[in-house]
Amino acid sequence: MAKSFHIEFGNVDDFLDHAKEALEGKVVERRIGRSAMFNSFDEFMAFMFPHKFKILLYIKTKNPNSMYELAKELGRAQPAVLKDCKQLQGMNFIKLIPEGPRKSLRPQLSFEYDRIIVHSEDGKIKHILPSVA
Amino acid sequence: MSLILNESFMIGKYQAHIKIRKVQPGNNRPDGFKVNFVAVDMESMKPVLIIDNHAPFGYHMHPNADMDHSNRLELEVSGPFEALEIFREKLKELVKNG
Repeated sequence: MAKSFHIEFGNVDDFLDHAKEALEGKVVERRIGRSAMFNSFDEFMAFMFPHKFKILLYIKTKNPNSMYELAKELGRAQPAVLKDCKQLQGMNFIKLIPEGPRKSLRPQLSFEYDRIIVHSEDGKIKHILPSVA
Repeated sequence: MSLILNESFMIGKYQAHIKIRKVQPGNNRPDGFKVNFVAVDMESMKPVLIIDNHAPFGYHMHPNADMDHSNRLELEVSGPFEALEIFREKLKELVKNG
């Protein structure tokens, strides 16, 4: 069964109401590190494209061992790729794992998901980004 | 210790993160919740606001967390719900002031 990362849309109040629900014991499984919320579809697209979606694809398909390898394959400067990766990590898409004596960072999906499901505001599925599979 | 929420939200130039864990109630966290409410500036990728809870401070805020993490402001709240409301207010202020 395909594992999914979920994108939802809402405002600050919607986001913080999820926290309130969690404190009240209303746990929604996908909100435990398997989803991210954006203010709008446009903000999501601006965040993800063009660079970050390519980074996710590359991590998923090639499993790079280091930021150096990832940046080299993407043909981009390492600091710019690192910044994108930190922002992806901040939204729970990936993890950056320190490895080796120099604690160099190895990017890895936050969990082994195969697709990104983009939910519309009315809760119906709007888009599935299948290329991550 | 169980994670009951780990979610992120992007608005404007900020990422907001909320992590809530249920923990064994004790001296460190008498109400049985461990919370991290964080706002990060996406340009610098540094936290600008943190609310968390542990002894001896209880619920507290690190305002200007990017400058001085040791600066703590104890919050006079009865529990995580009120701390969350303070985070709501501060996050909205941050977003408004851009």
